[in-house]
Amino acid sequence: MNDDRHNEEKLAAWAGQALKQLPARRAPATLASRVLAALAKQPVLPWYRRPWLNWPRHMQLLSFVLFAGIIGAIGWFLLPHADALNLANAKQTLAQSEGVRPVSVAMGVLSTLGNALVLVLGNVKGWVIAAGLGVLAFLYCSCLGLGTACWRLSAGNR
Amino acid sequence: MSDPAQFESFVLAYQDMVFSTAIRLLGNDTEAEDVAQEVFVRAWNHWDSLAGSNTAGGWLKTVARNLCLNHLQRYRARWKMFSDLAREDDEGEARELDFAAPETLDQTLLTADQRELLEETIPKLPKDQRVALVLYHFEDMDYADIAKQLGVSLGKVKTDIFRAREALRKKLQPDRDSVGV
Repeated sequence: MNDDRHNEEKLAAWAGQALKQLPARRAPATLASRVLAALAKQPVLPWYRRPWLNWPRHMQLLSFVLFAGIIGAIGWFLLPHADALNLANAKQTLAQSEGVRPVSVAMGVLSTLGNALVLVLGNVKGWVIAAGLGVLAFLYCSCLGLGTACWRLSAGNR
Repeated sequence: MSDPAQFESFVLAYQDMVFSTAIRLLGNDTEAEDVAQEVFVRAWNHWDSLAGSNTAGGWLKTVARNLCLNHLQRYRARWKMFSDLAREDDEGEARELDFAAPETLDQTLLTADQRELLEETIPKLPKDQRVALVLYHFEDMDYADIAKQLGVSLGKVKTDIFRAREALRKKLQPDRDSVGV
């Protein structure tokens, strides 16, 4: 057993040393021209029409800051109108956590939605809820099964 | 956006490295060239951050490796259902194969002919063996990472790499086939 292990290590060392001696394979002479031809065929899109990950780095940073600023501003300006928007808990939450106003607004919205859900559930009969959940489960399973079948078919045809 | 002449120089500088990665993993010239082309097209799309970067080579190598593995994975999925049982049966057989005696393995430099022979042999290895061997010896990945990347067991990776090494050894030293010769 030890001999086998020793031999295996020797073989690994030999293979490693031998393979390290191989030079890089020469690319076909046509590769560079193929690449340039493929690039020439690409539609030239301005940076803002490309996926965000392909934007120039400074534009990614700028857009991120801008987006964060917009979200922050929305939260900031919505808060004074919390009462009008029926965000009952927003002010109370704010009192407990001064300085995190957007978070307070979000908590208020969630709280309102939760209250509305409880109210709806309280006024609907139990069997209606059960039937609704059953229909949802059925639709979910159908989508899952249909998706799996489509994937199998497409994978089989490739 | 960028200077096409500068990008062409970039392609010429790195094309051998990218093509080498692709051909060794895929074992097929045409597919390797297609993948290499795709790698450089992606490089162009990231040219703003790649131009003049010290890490451009590493970026290209990683993208080439991932594209090759994705390419192989597409075809692998088709046959996986039928071949899984056979593969599981293969595991653990490595120790039963003949070893060359350590003394018989020449550690000297390879001749040009031997290098050529080795290069010709790699694409002819069975796909699982070739990919695992290349990831280990050329891409410097360890067994666990290879197993994770390929979605196979650690034992299978070790067995595949062992068999691939043994196949290369037999090709280069066919007259030294058994222990103690």
